[in-house]
Amino acid sequence: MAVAINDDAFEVSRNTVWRRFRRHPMALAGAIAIVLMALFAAFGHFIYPVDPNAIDQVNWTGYPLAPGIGGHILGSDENGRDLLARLIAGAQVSLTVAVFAVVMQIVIGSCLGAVAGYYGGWVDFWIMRLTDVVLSIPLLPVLLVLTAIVSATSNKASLSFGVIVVLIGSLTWPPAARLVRASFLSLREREFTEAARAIGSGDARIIFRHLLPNAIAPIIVQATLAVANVILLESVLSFLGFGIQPPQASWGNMLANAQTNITIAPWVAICPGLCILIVSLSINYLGDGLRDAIDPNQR
Amino acid sequence: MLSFVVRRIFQSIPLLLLISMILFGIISQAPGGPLTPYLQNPHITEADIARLKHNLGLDQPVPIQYLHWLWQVVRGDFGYSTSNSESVMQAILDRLPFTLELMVTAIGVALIVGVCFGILSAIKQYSWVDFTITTLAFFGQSMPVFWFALMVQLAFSVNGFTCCGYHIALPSAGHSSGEDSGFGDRIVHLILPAAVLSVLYLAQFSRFMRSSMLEVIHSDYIRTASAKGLTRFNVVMRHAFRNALIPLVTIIALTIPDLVGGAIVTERIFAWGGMGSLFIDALGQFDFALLMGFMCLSAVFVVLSNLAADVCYAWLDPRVKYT
Repeated sequence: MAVAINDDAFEVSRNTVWRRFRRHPMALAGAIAIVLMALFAAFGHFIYPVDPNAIDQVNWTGYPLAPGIGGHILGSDENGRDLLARLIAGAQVSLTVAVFAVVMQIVIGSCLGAVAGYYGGWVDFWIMRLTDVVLSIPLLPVLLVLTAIVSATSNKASLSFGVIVVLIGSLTWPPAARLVRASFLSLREREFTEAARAIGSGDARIIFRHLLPNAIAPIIVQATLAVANVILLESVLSFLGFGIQPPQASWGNMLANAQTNITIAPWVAICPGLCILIVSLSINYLGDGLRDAIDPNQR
Repeated sequence: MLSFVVRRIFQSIPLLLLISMILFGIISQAPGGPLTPYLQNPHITEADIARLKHNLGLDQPVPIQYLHWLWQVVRGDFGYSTSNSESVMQAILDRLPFTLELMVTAIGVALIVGVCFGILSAIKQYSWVDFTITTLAFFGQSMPVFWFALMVQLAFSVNGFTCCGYHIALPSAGHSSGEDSGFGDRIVHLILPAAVLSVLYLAQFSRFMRSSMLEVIHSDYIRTASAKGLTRFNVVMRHAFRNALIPLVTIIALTIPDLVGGAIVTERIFAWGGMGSLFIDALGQFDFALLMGFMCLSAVFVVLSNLAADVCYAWLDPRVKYT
């Protein structure tokens, strides 16, 4: 498979991409860190089988436990729940939310952008006006209002990550749509599109089999960087109490109460934030390296 | 030029109307609506609630309520804030100065430092200076702001730190110690929240400036300027810097809405009491009118600053045509 890049009509083999990517040690390190974090989320509770919601009734006195006390490797939070077990549970939630929200955002954005760019005319006009509207909506306030309404109308426990995925995904697709539309505008004028049309391919086939694979490079970069943004967004929502609801752990809501105990138990505040920082830093480095490797014109 | 601006303004009116419709539609789904504070009051009977609902027009269909709200807004009245017991306009005007104080400081510092960092790392590309600045920018971009704020509080405010023989503990909450506190006191309160915010903006600005500067530096007219024998300082500052600033207009325009929207998270952690805190308080009580006012104001600023960016861009760069 070859990936054609924008207008220049030169093709880049996988080997070239890999060679360019290897030049970025930080991107490689980021990729490794992300894999490790995913393994930590997926298999952490097999290696460290502690219930993230269980309260240590033997040792807990109303304050966070220091690391090491009662067998808690990283100590406990202000409710006597094991911090490491909650970090693992939080990793599962935060990473799943981010991946699914980004998949949703990219699917919506790519489809709308592809249709707008391929057909042009009034279809393009109205899809782009819709994009303008969604882009002009203040993201964080509206997300907060929406999650507040959903959690007030339904019972608290049902504000699961499904709701958050859908809300984030359906408000963050415009950049992807613009990106795909821009590549489609030039791709639809190219000879191979003409050829596909000449042999009688339908619109759907041309869009998905011929044009989309050629527009994939910027989408991959956009998707990678979006994961970091969504992780930050979800953690902010949860931190403010409008995202993942307790007792379900997420890196964001683990920090919600950390401020009150920060003088006596700084480690409760340091650990979850450090996880968020490591993941989003790794993803940003990875995305940057990927952009250089597969889509050097984008810089 | 003038006709372009006028046309763009007229184009943004339907956009804003549509956004306000969507926002109104969302908020009107809130349970209890603007009467939530009264529902918990034992002295207010159900008959009173029904009467209030009727008086406020809340028993009418949502589209009628929207038209009613829109007519009020057109006359400059954003309604009555139930969580602050004053008009929405008054509530916003009371808090806006604090938010402006914080945001202007943070963005101003970030802009100056970010532009300098961006130029430095572009003209010293791949040196250790460039590497340090780029790394810092990556950290700033990836930092969860609330956590960074907590860490800054932990480092500079909780236990304090020792500097030049003095023990200093910076205040971690509020915008001043009291009503009639002096200028110095307000500055001291401003340091931590403004620093936290400016690091985030700094990351954006310096990365953007770096790539914009790199693009300019490798263009033909810069080579010409160097070939003429101009000093490196002259080439960088008089020829490259000015042109590299143009794309920065876009990213500055993106931050203008933050001036009124405030930094919801940072304001909350530092108990700043500006627009962000106003919004979160209103959200807790479903203060219908205030939420609507806040979000519409933000949307207006988003649309206007995009417009301003386009106009400035076309004005600064003669190659861009108005369409």
